[in-house]
This record gives sequence, C-alpha cells and structure tokens, in this order.
Amino acid sequence: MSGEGAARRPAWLWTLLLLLATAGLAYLATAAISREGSVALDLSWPLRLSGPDDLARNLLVAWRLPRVLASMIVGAALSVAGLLLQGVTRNPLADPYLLGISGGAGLLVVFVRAMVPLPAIDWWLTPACAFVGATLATLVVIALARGGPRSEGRLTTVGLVLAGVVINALCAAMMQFILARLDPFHLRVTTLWLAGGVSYVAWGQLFVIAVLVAAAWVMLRARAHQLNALALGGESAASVGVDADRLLRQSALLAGLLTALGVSVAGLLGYVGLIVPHVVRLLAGRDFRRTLPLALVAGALLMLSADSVARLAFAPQELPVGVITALLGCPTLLVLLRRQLSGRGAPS
Amino acid sequence: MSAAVLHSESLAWGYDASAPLGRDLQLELEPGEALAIVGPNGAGKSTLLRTLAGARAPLDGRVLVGGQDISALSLEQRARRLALLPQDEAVDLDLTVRELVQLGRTPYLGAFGRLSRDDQSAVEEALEACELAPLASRALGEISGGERQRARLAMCLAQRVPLLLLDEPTSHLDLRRRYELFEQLAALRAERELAVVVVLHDLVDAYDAHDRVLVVADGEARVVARDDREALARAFGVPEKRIPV
Repeated sequence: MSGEGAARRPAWLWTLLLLLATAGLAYLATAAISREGSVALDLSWPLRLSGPDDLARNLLVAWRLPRVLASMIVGAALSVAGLLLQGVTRNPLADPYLLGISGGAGLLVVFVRAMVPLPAIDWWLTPACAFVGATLATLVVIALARGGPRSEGRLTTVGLVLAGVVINALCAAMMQFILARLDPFHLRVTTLWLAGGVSYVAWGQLFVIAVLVAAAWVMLRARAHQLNALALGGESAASVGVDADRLLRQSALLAGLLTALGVSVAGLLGYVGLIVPHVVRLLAGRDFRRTLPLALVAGALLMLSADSVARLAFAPQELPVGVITALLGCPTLLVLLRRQLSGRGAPS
Repeated sequence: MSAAVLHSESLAWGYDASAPLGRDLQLELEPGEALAIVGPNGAGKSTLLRTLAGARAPLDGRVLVGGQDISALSLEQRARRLALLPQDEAVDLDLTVRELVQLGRTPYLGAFGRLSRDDQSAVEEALEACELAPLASRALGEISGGERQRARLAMCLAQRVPLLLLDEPTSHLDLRRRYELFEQLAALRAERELAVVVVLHDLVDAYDAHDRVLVVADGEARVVARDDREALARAFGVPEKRIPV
C-alpha cells in the first residue's frame, strides 16, 4: 500500500458515501429484518404519518432499534480502537482481539459475573470491569512487545503477536476456570455473551456507551496531528514537539476504553478492529485527521452488515456475529501476515 | 550584536555522571553561524548534539537556546526554536514526502491539527528549497536514500526555526549531493540567518563548509583550527600525514 494520493477520492467523500450506506442499511435492518424471524415490521409508517400497531412499535423500540444502533456503535468503537493501536504500535497487525485486549476485558467481566449475583450487575458494572481489564491488557502487551531502546517505539510484529497469544491464552484459561464453577443459568448467559454479538441492549446503556465512544473519539481527533508524528519514531517525534511516551499512555487508555465499551455490549468480537483500519487507510491514506472519521463510519457499516447477515442468513436461526467477522478477518490476517513476513508491509 | 542562538555553560554530557563523555564546554553560536562537530567513533559527538538539542539532560552545566534554558522549555516550545535531524532513519516508509514535511509544522498546530495558510506555505517553501516538489506525492519507500535524507531535512526546514542540529546528514549522499547540501545550508544561513550545528565524519567537509570545527575526543571538546594538524592527529589517533586538511 503506497501513500500515493493523487488518484485518490477525497476522504470526506468516502466518509459521506459510507455514511449514506450505513444510514440506508440501518433503516432496512430495522424495518425488514425481524429479530426472531416471525414478525416482519412494516417500517414505511414514518412516511405515511400513521402509527404502527402496538406490537410492532414495542418490538421496534425495545429490540430492533437498540440492536441496530448498538451494532453500529460497537463497530465504530472497535474500528477506532484498532486504528489507534495500529498507529501507536506502528504495526499493521494490531487489533484489540488479537492483542488480547478484548480477552482482558472479557476475563474481568466474567470474574465479576461469577462473584456478583446477576440482578446486581448494573449497566455500569460490566463496562467498568471491561475497561479495567482492557487497559491492563493493553499496558502488559505493549510492555511485553517493546523492543530495546533502539526500537524507536516500533513494536515488532513477532513481539506483539506473541504477547497477544500469551495474554489470550492466559485469559482463556482463567475464564474456563471461572466458567467451570458457574451454575447452569449463569453459564448460559455468560457463554452467549462471550460468543460475541449484540442481542439485547437497554436504551440507558446504549446512551451511556454512545456518549463515551463519542467523547473518546473527540479526544483522539484533537490529537490526530500528534498521532501522525509517531510515524517519525520517538526521537524525531520529540523534535517536532510530540511526547511519544505520553501519547502512547493516553492512547492505551483510550484504546482500552473503546475496546471495553465494545466488549461490554457485544462480547468477544474479533477482527473488526483489524479489517476496518486497513480498508480505511487504503481509501484515505494514513493521516489520522482523515482516517478517524472514516474509521468511525466504516466500522459502523461493517458491524451493521455483519449483524444483518448473522440474522438473515439462516433465519429464523441466528449466527453469532463473531462467526461472520472471523470469516472476514482470518483471510485478511493471513494476507497481512504474509506481507509482513515477506517484508512488503511496514518494516518491523 | 544579536543574542546567541545557542549557548552552553560548563556543559558536561554523556550517560554516567562519574564518567562523562565530555565536560566544561563553553559554546556560543551566533545567527547565521555554522559549527561542525567531528571526532573519532564513540567520542560522544551525537550525544553532545542531543544534549545541545535538549533531547538528553546535561550531566552538568546548562544549554540556553535564544537566551532561555532549554530544560525549562516544553517539547513544543523547543520544537519552535530548534530542529534536530537524528542519524537513525526510523520513519515509516509509507509516508509521502509531503506528509513527512507537513509533520514539521506539528509544533505550530492547534487542537484538531488544521494547517493554516502559513503552515501550507512553510511546507511548500521547504519542498521547494530541497528540490522535492516533483517528488512530493511519492512514498518515502519509493525514493532513494539521498532523496529521503533531503526530505527529512525539508521537514526540519518546515519547522522555520533559527537553529538546525544535524547528525551526520551526509551519510547517504554522494559527492555531488554532499556539495549541494552544504551549498544549500550556506544559502539558508545567508538568507535567513539560520545557525547550524552539524556532526560530520569528513574533515574536509567540516573545514570547508563551516565557520568553526569542534573536535570531540578523549573527554573534551575544543575548537581546533584547520592548520593545527598536530591536535587533529592526536584527537583521531593517526599520524599527521593521514590528516586530509
């Protein structure tokens, strides 16, 4: 992927196009796709200015709309987290799931679910635990993957992937340990959540998560030009006035927050944060001022599409969304890995 | 006389306070002046340059840039007063030349990083000065090592600072490019009163293109005149007849 910009469509145009596509799909997904496959909603009612019947309205307000919105928010959050991680580690293989950040978030959530009786798990407890777990995992992975003092802040591919493998294995083992001791009801609820996918989200939870994702995104956008300077390496970044270490710490926190918000809604959903940043850079280059808005929209579109496919492909049965993203993500990962190892990607 | 661009007082530099690489350096650099730093490998030339740039804390003494103690400046304030071109090329090769040069404006950008007209013109001017305009949209990985070096220099120029600190800027350049680099630096010194400090290996380049030459060897740094062949031979540990100037 070269940085050639002459023939490229402007980033704002891509952002606008994807935004329109997302809005269109959101409308279709809300209108045409029934959650359990049995009730088809007629969503032309906003056009006809007459209200739908009560059942339709209830389904719409309580189930479909939140699910569609949650998919979009989760996709956006995970994509921006991936874009950020790939930027600060200066490595195109970074992804919240592969690096074990989602795993860290998941572990803490499972732990708390095992310790606290279900009804006491408030809307804030799951995201809070996920945040602590994700941030801890991010810091550990970056510390493990950091090369010597001459690595210039560039984390090696091998270091990152191995650190991710270790963290993921550790988190999985500990989760299995906890799951094995759960009673059947807790076990069922928790396993469903872990499989990845948006099923039920309350409006309050959705609102809080939307606000937090937006806040994290604005904080990142305000630092976009500093994130760009990380491409110079630590010393040169400092010589243009950017404190690379501080930016790395802030980014680890924000990537942890975004991942945690995604995980708390959709469980361990992989590869969204890997695929979207690559597509985005292909369309808009590597300037964070352009890629951050595009990643937000492209992530929402990808997750919404994946969720719709998961619901429709074998309706009335549902696939876990994680299956769809993995089917897309694994080939992407293989291609990227091959490019890295043959030295055609960014140097590592 | 205008104030010194760069000033050091009893400066000691290195990694270990009990065994500094050099000490007691008094240095004063006027606008438009050029200083070369030479010395054998491992004598601490680059470490001295980094200390002068504020990238390393001095073991003793202090460095003043434009009359202000460099350790009291924030990274951003420092980046508006001096530009450092490190030796290592750690920059991502999929950046384009223009993107790289634009990064030189980072210390001037407000939140959200919008480039003002002033920023744009600084970037175009730097590209022009380094004859990079035709390469502006090429990725760094697609151009030669010499062109890449010029692009990195252009980034420093885009910072529009009164002081340039360059660590072995000639290392990837052939004879002609080396000549052109020093011509260009001379022009910048004359036009903009830019002061430059350059770490070099080549003694001929050092004496031909600079006002003073600072020789760093055996724990001390002092200005050595061109005809003092004995001092140069001693510093580099070679017989006098091997000194090329």
